[in-house]
Amino acid sequence: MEHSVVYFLLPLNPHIAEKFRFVFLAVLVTIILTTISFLVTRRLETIPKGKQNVFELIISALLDFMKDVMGHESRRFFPLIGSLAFFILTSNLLGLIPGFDSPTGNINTTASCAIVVFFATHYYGFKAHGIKYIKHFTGPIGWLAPLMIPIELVSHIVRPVSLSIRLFGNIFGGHLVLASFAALVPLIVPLPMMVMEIFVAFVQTIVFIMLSMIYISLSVEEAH
Amino acid sequence: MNDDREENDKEGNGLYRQMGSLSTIGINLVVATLVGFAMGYYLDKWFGTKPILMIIFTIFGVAAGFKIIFEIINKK
Repeated sequence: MEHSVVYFLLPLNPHIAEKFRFVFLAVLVTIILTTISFLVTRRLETIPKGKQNVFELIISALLDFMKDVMGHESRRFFPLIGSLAFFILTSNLLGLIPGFDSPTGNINTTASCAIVVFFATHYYGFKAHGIKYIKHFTGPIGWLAPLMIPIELVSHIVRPVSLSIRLFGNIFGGHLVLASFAALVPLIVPLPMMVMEIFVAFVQTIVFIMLSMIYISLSVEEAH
Repeated sequence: MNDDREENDKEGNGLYRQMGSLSTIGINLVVATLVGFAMGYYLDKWFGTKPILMIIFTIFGVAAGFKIIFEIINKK
């Protein structure tokens, strides 16, 4: 593919810039988000107008969505889920700007998001239940526990793997389709695919945060 | 924000939650088998018991995949 914008932003050896471009782009996403949130929260007003209005709309919609999925505990987990949502959505959309690439188009970025969710799940589960959290792993019948523990172990490890592979696969596949269309007919033809990519970016963000919420609320709930 | 809604859906079993969990069935069945196989493969490498743990953990992986599906479907 063509040279990424990272080459021009950083005075680096092109080999290093090529190898670590997803890291630099993830840092760029973080800088963008930090700057925007600083600009928005710098002067908060009771009666919002302008950019504060827009962000209050986005955040209250996100919180309503979380209440729909998680129930009454949603506000406690809003910092984690909200940051994940903003990071993943911005990363997905960044790849649609020519010259940039999606940080989520690399398995390492998505895996790190999913691993954070994995550890948060078990941290909150352990915090909610204490040592009884082990009942989530032993299953309903006591003498079947030696059989159930490996099965539960596998099914807990599956969660971050499937989360990261789904997000990575969708974004990477979309970029591959875009790149091949653009190589064939660069003019009008890739445009419908780009609209499709915007849709995919939103849907994958929603799926990721929804599954994170489901996993966290499953481990906070009582064992079945 | 409308805090009175919190009383209504305390369970949090909304439509979105069901749609989200149902959409994971396909990939989970595949990934569970692969994760089981990978765990068995690397444990075999570690202990030097070439095919035994691989077979056992692949079966565990398949069982875990079906257990995930069973839990999703069985939820009220």
